[in-house]
Amino acid sequence: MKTESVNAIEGKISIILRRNENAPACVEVTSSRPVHAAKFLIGKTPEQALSIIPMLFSICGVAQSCAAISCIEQQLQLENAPGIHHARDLLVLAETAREHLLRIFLDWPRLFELEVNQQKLPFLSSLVNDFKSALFEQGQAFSLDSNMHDDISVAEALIDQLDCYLQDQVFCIPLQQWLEFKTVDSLHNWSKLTDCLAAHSILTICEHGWTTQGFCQLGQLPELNQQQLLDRFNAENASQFIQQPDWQGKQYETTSLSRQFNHPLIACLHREFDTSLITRWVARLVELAQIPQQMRALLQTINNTDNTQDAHSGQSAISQVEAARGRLIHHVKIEQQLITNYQILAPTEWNFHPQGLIAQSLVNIKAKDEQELKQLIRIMINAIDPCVGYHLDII
Amino acid sequence: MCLALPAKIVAIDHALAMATAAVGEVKKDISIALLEDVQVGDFVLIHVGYALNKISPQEAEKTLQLFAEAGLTQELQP
Repeated sequence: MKTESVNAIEGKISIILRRNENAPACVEVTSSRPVHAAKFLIGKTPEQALSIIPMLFSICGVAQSCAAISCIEQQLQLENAPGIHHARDLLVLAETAREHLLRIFLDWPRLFELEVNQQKLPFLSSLVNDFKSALFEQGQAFSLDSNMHDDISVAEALIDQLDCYLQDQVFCIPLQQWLEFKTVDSLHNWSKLTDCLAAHSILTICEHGWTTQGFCQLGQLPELNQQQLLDRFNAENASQFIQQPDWQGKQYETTSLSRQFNHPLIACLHREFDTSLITRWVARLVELAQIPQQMRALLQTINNTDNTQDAHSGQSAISQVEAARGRLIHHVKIEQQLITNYQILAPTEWNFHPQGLIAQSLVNIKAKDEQELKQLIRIMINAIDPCVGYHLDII
Repeated sequence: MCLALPAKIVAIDHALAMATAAVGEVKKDISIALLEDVQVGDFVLIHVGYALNKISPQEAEKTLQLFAEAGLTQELQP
């Protein structure tokens, strides 16, 4: 395989920051991401698609599979055993926890010039599969004949294990206690008194005066009407929508912050610092700290949930899943047992839109020199979407 | 959406938890901090500088074949 083929698979985002002495900076974002790779699924059977998707899109394979099977079950008008959707939602949370933790342990030390503690990492690589095995027979969570285990005690134990891991390795206090912080002072006091990566990163942001860096006025992606979404995916310019999405002519943000906007601590940070670096940085930690309690809530309802889905056999089906990086949307049409249309709109395309979140945030970074500028840009992009490879030029 | 590449480990620096992984002619330096017991010759999925998990040679070949069928690359062998 040659470099061009590797680049085509990985895709690249190019970010150019142009500084002007007498005018505001401007940011150009261009993408060569393979946003239309899902077309490959056209002509496949639903079963084939469900086995291909986690191999092809393995980074957020659970969220991708969850969106795929939801669309396919709607199209085939299949009814599931009680609780199966909540069990799959729980797996998406496990994947979100893993993705956030990976970035905290692998990226944050580099961004803040600290050492990586490798002892913390192997637990993460098996986390999602452990939950799959705990909840589903043969760990088969995303097949059309998935069956759940009756006994949820293994899953309960895994959630307790994750809770302890987060407490010991990330927050250094009980999660509930951390989530009760409702003021900037309480968060700042914790970051001063605690020796951990999360506290150190917040302290660094505060003490360097970086809290309001990267302020951005973009709105959070709202609930999207299913029928209007179907119209966008079926329109002649659907390809443009998938590549550079907008909603009713506007760009939006879809990140952890979008999901945590109403949490008391985030609301407080938003009042004080608006949607700037510190608010965004803490939102990911708030999301992470809440995952065990959200998992427990899902597990409690697994045995008594009505899973009836809206059937869309006549038209195509849409599924929206909150993946680690933001909202992931699949659109599928099945005719005579074969997939005749498959489109995926990933959160990266919203956030890295040429007029989107990255572009608007980076314009509002002020640094004392080029070294600080580069560090702040890396931190800002990591706070928005740490999963995307990019090339940065500052001119 | 993000795609991870199957790659073969061709060199390892255990002290730094780094490795060189080959995808055909292309070599990449990657972190193996996430994985235990990685050996030269193992196949892994890589993404933005990290090896995410080990896969079998058969899975590596199948995934590259899928990329080729999807029109992302013309070559099939890792």
